[in-house]
Amino acid sequence: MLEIFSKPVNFIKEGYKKRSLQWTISLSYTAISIISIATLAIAFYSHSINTIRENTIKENEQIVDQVGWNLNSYIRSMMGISDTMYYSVIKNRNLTNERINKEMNLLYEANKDNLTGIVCATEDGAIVAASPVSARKAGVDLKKQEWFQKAVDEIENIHFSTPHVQNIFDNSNYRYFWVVSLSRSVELTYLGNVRNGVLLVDMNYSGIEQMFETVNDGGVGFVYLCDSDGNIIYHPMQKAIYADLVKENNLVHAKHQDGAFSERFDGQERDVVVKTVGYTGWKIISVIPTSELAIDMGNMRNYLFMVAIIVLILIVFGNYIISYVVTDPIRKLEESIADLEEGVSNEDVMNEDDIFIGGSHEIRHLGRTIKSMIRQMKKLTDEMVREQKAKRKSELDALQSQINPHFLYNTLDSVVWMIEGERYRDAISMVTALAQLFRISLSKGNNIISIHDEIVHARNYLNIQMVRYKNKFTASIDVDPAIEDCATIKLIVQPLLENAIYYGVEHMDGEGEIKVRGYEKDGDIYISVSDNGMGIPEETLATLLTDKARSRGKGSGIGLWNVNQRIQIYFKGDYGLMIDSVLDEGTTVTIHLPKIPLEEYQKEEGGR
Amino acid sequence: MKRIRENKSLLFVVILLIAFLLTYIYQINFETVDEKEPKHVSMIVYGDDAERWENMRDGALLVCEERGAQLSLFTMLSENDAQEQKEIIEREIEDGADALMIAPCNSKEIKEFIDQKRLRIPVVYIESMEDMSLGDKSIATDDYAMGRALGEEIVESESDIVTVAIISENTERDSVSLREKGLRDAIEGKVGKIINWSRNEYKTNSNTRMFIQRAIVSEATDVIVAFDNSTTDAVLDALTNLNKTSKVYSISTSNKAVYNLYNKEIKALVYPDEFSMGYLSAMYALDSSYASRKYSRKKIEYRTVRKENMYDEENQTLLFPFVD
Repeated sequence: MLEIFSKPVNFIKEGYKKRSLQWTISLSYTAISIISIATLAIAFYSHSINTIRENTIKENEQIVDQVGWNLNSYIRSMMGISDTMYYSVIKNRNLTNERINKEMNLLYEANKDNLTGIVCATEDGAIVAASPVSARKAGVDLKKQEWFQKAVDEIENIHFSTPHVQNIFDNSNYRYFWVVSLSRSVELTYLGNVRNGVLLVDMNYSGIEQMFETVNDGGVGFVYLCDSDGNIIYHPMQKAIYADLVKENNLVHAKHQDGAFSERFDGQERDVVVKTVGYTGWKIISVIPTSELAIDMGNMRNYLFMVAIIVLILIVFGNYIISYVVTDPIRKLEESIADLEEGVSNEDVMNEDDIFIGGSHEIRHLGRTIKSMIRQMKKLTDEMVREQKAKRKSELDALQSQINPHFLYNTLDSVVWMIEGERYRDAISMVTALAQLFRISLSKGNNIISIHDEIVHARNYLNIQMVRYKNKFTASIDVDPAIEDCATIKLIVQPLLENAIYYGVEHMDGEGEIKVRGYEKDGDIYISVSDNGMGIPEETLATLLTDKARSRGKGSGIGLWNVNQRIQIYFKGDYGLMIDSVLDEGTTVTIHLPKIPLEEYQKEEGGR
Repeated sequence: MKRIRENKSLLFVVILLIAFLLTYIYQINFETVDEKEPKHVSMIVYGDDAERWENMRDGALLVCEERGAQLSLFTMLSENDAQEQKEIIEREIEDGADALMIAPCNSKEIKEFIDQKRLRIPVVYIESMEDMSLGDKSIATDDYAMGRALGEEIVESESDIVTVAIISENTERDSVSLREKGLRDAIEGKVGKIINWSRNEYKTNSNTRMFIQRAIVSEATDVIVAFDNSTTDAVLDALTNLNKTSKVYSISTSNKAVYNLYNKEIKALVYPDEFSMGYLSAMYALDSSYASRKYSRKKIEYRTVRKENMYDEENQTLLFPFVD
């Protein structure tokens, strides 16, 4: 389970690591803002929707109350007509010789806007009186009418029918009236004898219809009326319901207690308010399909969405600005440190004044601390460089001091050998060459001399050795005059010549040949010493420039390693010695030096 | 420098975006909603009696009001002038009607006219149409079945020697011809005699009532059958004028027919549910996909009504519509 979350969490962590501080701050705050605003918006939306819904239900409850009150008044006035007719007219009359038509007509005329007729009939179905006076339809049997039967069956109550077409009287012009019949059992007095009869007050259905149509014009949802059995008395879609084109949940609503509730009917969510009308038991039902609130909800949703977007944009923008203000000094400090790093890697001078100091006091403090650290580092580095130089010089001096006795030993050995052989002229010549050699060797204490001096030194050395070896080999020196003024470490050719003589041509009895060449190639200087001696075996060749070579065979054994070390200490990089040797053909040792005019080198050294 | 420029661009974009959103919020909250132009549905019917279509119009109007559309009813100056009806249709199309509901006075001619127009607006026929093409929509009761039901009522109520006069009027309407066919199929061989009363027989161009009066006077019959409102009313008027009585069997929705069902000559009436026809026609005209989903199986009802059952609960809602 945890693995499911660990992957994305790690992904986010890795993502964060790769991003800048400003990006991280902006994104984090933006994410938090989005979550907060979305939560707020959803909560507010839900609350608003509920409020809209509750308010609509409340409004409809008020409407239902108002309609209930109106309907109740209407029904009571109809019942009042019935009561008046019964208690004030019918009950006091001996119908054998008294007529009630006049009073009935008066009552009808006074209320004819709401009535279609008043009828008083005996329990046999014979009409005692009727208003308005009109021809009774032939063949109409009142006893079969529902309102009549109800009045006879339950004599103690006043009965209200569902809407029906009045079919007692003949109407001209093919007119017909939809009525709601209010019927009751009455006592008719004939010669002191009381007989039961039925009093009918036909309420004009259009009165009820208009009452509800007024309510249903405009507003949300609709209000309808049904009796306690669920028979629809008024519904704005009544005709469509009768034609089975539209469905209504009237049977359920009729059984429901007064109050508000929600339902799902015919694929529609609806809020329903039910109210029972007093005496009749009729139910006024308000139905609000939730979809009709959708426009308000949609507007609210759009509004909230837009406000949330604006707030988010402002927050994102604010986050960007704040994170920029907060992180810019850090970024500048970081950039200045990066520049410093780059400068250091490019061997430029480390300058602590380039460190950025700005922003808040914490960052200024950080900048100053880094600056102080760099100053310390610089001091330490300078000290280290100085120490390194001193160490290098002492090492060089040590190497140099290794050469001098080595060379001197060999030369003096030759001179001794000549004097012993009474070759005084040669000895004088050699000592002269030796003197010149030492003059160059000393070079006023300079380790760096011109290639010209180095070659002169090499020539003197060759002269000394050729005398010593009785011309067992020949030697030639060919140096490009263009490189003669360039700088070289002193005494680097001579050890190569020494090696060429000792290991190359010493035993060749006049066939030995040593060639010294100096030339420039690809902007660098090369001085090669070649011999046609026996060559160097590969395994020896591999160790010649390593530390192990210092302890091999003849002489002090420090020649090639010594030269290579000195060149690398001075010039570093790829400079030094290259050895190319083929067995029985000879060896070429090449010195690789940078091309630096001696004058320029001396100036640089002087500058330091 | 580059950073400052970037920030300014960002600020500009943000301000622009906020301005746009504020305008939008203002529009949705404080300006009146730009209401869509309501759809106009033209209901073009035959005959010059607008009241005759009242119930059907009520059905259509209920749908139109529900869907914010406007309904206009167009009757003609005469009963059966196809040319006049074509002109009305033409005019309504030019006036930009969004849907047409047509009760053709001449099924074949009007349909050909509509087909030639290749209209891009919905056209719903509110009569039976025999030659329907794919895509045509007709909302009607099963006229053949109604005719047959009326015939069966005659067979059941009358003796087998009865003479039945069938008035063949307005047969250019497929609804009428289907009703007649249904009736003939039901009574053929089951009654004494069938007489055909048609204008051709009597070679007259006078109005329907006059032609029927002439027929009544000319040929004795026990039963007269009429298949539409105007013919039924003409039969009743003719009988009144001639001060004669007869047993009339009719398919009609006229108030006169209903009145006479209880009081006078009409023995049985087959009454189609025109309210549903109007309702469904408008529904198909305005939202055919919804109508197809919800009402594809809905059949328009008709009832065979006699004096005895006309006030039954289910019949009175049909025969006595709540007309606003």
